[in-house]
Amino acid sequence: MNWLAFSITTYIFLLMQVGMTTLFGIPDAEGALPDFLLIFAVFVGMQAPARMVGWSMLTVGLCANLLPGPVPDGPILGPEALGYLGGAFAVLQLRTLLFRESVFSLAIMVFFVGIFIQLITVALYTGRGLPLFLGQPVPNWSASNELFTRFLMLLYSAFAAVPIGFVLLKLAPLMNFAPAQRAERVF
Amino acid sequence: MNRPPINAKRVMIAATVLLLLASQLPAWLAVKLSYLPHAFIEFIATPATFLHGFSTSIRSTDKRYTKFSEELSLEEQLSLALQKLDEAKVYNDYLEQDIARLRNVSDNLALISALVDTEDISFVGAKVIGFNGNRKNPILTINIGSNDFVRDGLAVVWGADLVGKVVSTSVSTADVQLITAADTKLQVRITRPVIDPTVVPVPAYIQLSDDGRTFYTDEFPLDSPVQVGDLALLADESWQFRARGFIVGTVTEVGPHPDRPLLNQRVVIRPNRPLASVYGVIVLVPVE
Repeated sequence: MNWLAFSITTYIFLLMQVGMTTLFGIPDAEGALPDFLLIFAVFVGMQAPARMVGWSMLTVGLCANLLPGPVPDGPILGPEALGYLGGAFAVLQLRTLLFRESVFSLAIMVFFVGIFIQLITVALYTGRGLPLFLGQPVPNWSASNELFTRFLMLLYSAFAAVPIGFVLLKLAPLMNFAPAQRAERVF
Repeated sequence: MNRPPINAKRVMIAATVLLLLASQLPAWLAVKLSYLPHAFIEFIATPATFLHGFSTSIRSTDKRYTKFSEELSLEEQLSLALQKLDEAKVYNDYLEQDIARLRNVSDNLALISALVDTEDISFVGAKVIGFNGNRKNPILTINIGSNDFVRDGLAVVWGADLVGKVVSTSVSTADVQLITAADTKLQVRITRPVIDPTVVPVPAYIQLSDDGRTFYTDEFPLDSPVQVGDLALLADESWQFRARGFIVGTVTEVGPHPDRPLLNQRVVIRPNRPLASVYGVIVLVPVE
């Protein structure tokens, strides 16, 4: 796997996530938004060698973690990153069931893997409100509202995954996803 | 076969555990962990501002206001304007509540600061090591005693709240009777939570209710200025001088007196925290 190409593409998707919300929000920038980083993470999860999937999705998760989250003081490291790591596990379980070179497979995976990721993320943010841990509750946090909003985002992301997946599949050779082959012995 | 002590799987497990811990840290600490220099963020986010400019040039964020001036009828514009006005009023109410809360915090800090500045008393912190569980005569045991100059009759506080009074002392421990002990009667001054020079504190004599959790007083006439949210500050001369001014509780109910509804009000005062469950206290020890 070409980590340089992966890093540059992650950065581009991070920029799209930050800068293009106004353009793609439904009905406006405060409504449902597609999650470009999720689409890219699932794409990498479907294509990359199994031992790279966890690390690559964790990296994308850390990038997602640095975006402004529900805690007003600043980003809290952990919930999104761990969500994506859980998503990596889900991708590895599901990707054998689907044809990896299809954009529709990507759309389906974005939706189902996204459910895993969002459930873990919401659970970790909600866990901050429990008295047995050190974290303070997130202000104005409602797990059910969050799950509803994130479900709409997943639906939108699944639709957005079709055109984006088409572009990503064209770029896939640059990322060199094929596992490194050992030199074959002729004799 | 020996596996190397550090391999990808172990690093991944360690990263997961660390992230799990980081996700449950208090916000102030977690934010420090994820701190990135502002200049770095600005540098990496510069292309995003171009993308954002590109997005807004295609789809303006002020769509609603464009409609407001061009597409809506007068009635719709009026309705929208009234809706905006309501939203602004609600927001203004939130801001006023925030200001009142911050003033309250500031006043409490000023009170604590004034107390700390006094030279005739030292504030000795203690850990609560026991509670007798008796509702009629609740006693906390603390981990300091006569070795730390604690003696009977000293006031015990936590923050700006009055907790109780030392009733017996050994060399290394002391028993503190809570103010919610049965038959407690206290002289207090009831005042606004925010310092207001125009409001004069009202003296009152309060006693513990039968429920053992609240105090009440029946001596106020119907037109008294006491209202819900006011603070009851200790003014009892039988207590240590420096304990006066600490908060006994907050007024939670002001209603007609059950027997004399046309003459008097019953004012109910509740301590700001469950005193039996405090884990640490401060003893006001006079400097000899």
